[in-house]
Amino acid sequence: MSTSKDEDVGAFIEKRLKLDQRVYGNRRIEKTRHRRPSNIENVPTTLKVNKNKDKYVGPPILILDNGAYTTKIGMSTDDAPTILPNCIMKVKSERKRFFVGNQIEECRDLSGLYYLLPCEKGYTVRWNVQKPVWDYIFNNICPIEDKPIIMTQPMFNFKPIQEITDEIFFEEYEIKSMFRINPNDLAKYEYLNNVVGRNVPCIVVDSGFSFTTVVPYIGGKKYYKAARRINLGGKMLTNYLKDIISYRQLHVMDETYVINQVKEDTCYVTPNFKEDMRIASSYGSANTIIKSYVLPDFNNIRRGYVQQLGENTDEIAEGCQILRLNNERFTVPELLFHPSDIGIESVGIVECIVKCIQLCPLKDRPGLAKNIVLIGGNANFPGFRERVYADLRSYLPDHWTVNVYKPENPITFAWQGGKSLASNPKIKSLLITKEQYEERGSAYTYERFSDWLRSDRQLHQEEPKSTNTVATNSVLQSGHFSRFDLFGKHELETEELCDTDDNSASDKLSKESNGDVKSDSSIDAVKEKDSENNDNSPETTLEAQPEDTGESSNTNKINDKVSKHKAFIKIDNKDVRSSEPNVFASYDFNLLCNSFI
Amino acid sequence: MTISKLTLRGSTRLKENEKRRIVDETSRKRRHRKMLETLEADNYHEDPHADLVMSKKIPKFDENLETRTRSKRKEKSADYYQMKFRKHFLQLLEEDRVEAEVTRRYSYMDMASEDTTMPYRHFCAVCGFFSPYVCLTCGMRYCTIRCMDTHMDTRCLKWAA
Ligand SMILES: [Zn+2]
Ligand SMILES: [Zn+2]
Repeated sequence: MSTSKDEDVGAFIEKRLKLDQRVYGNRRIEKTRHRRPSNIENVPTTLKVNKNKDKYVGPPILILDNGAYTTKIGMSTDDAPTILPNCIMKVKSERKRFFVGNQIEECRDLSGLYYLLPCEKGYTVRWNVQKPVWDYIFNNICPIEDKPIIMTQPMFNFKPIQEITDEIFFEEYEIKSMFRINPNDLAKYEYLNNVVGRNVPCIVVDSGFSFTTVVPYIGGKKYYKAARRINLGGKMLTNYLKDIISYRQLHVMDETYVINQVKEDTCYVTPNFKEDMRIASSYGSANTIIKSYVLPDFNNIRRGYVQQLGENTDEIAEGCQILRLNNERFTVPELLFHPSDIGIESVGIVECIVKCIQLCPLKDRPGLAKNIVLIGGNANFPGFRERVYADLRSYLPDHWTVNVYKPENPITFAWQGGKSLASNPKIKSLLITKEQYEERGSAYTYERFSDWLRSDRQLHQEEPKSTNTVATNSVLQSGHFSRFDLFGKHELETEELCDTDDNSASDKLSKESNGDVKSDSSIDAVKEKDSENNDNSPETTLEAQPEDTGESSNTNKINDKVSKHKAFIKIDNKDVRSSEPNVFASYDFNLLCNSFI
Repeated sequence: MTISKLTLRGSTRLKENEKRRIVDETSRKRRHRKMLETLEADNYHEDPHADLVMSKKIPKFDENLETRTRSKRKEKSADYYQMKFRKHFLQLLEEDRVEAEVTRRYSYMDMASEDTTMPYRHFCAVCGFFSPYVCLTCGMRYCTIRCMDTHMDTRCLKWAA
């Protein structure tokens, strides 16, 4: 990304934020901002804890953050890891070879790049891809011999995957010792040790290639009950951008690599969705959002770029193709906040964080709101942190402090955590040696490296039911609002008709108490968000409001005919619910990003 | 766009409408599922080397690597691990669920996010702006006559179904 573009977006977002203030001038969030204007700046950005020079320095350890899209690798003595694609690539132009990892830099013509990725939904399943990539890395980037290794694995990394990993590392690579941990844990470690400097509750939000996880830590431990995963990540955003560009302008379905760069170069998270939609729909100079992007031709232009204002189109080499990016620039990252925009029923990031906080013990909730850490590639979207902060601020009680921390490099933050962990004397006891593995087998490593095996469901269920769990329910009970025809009109009447089903229908969420106590002020905040008539309620409601009225007047004629569909919708909702006792069916259901089947 | 043109278009379309069948909910959901599958895909196109592998023997890139420090004896081919693994993602999920149930721990599926409680926002399937209209045939949305025309000519399910 060029710096000029960054500044451009920065100034742009500042402008947007001002607009935002004007629009939501009397919103609660604004009052809060006034009272604590420096709130967002309070976020610690430098290391408070200076690394002690006399600190324990163990043997150099190899740290491997094995992401689904990029691998971050380096020695604990390095300042930063090497980042390289965790995949094998093929190109049309060179049919005689594969490109592994960063070998792709040697390739000139990247059009029609074909990916072989080792992961499915974030979990390594294609070993005929993963193994060669590791071979390449350990032979060419970072030698592995005789070194202990800390590597990452996703949460709930499945037993067969861990077994193969053991076999590859212990038996084939013959490493000395190994420790496996979730990237969220490493990020938490880095945050607690080198950012805040003490043990506080925190939430690590990792928005990566395959999915986005929201994981709370209380007393330094994962609080499994409230940990959530949204099946939406950078891969889906790129594919979505690819799809809409192909439909609206130019066929680019085969150009995942190029469009990923377009995404990184032009997309941003809007602070005010509705306002940006308005600007993007205006013509001429009033449209400050539209940008022209020069696509690479891999001849004169190796990498695409945003065409600067005033740049003469004639100067650009003839024959090169230009994309016009308008509302795509912010509607694509917006999916992270509203997956429902493309019909995925799941909560968005902020809603997920709020629910996560509400599922945590009462006393820890304010602390969690104070320590939210954003990592993963999607955190690099301009405006991402600001949006998470602003939305959280509007959801959470006024008297809470909200801090959202985005590390300097969200992609390598987990790796940095691994580096810090390597200098902790305790690492010795965490590593499993080759001898231990040979003696006790893969079952032992699985047991040791899988902290979820010790997450006891019963423990949480037997907790005295706090009256405040209602806060969750007040949101969740209206959950059925979302079950609508994907493309149909949002119909309240239909919902009321369906009401009777809902008690029996709600799944694991309804295990919580069903009382109606409104002691937590966060309930009110949430209620406000939900209430349809409140003009001060935030963004989404505001949007839905005028739109719906406009809709009813405009589509009166159609409505009669549409009512037929309503009947369908109602029946279908019932069907979905009645199938829920069948657990495997609901697996399948959730596999497709909690969407319709 | 003049009014007369509009009404003219409208009237022809009305005639068309009578003939057109309404695509049922199942097909609509199938379309949506297909769309989500596309969004989950690693590539959209065919493997550019697919035919090549069949016809010519490509040197395994393992052999291209220059430095080999490990003993050859221990080396196993990448395919060996793939053969040994042979698990489908769904299979992994099911095993995880069973184990979680027995030991009463949390599982992969417990971590799935809840459904949203926010109202849905609706966008024109053609241009991406807010849309008030629904296509009677297939249920997708459009915002203006212009977009409706594009929709009818392209992604409307009357063609696909
Ligand atoms: Zn439109
Ligand atoms: Zn249609």
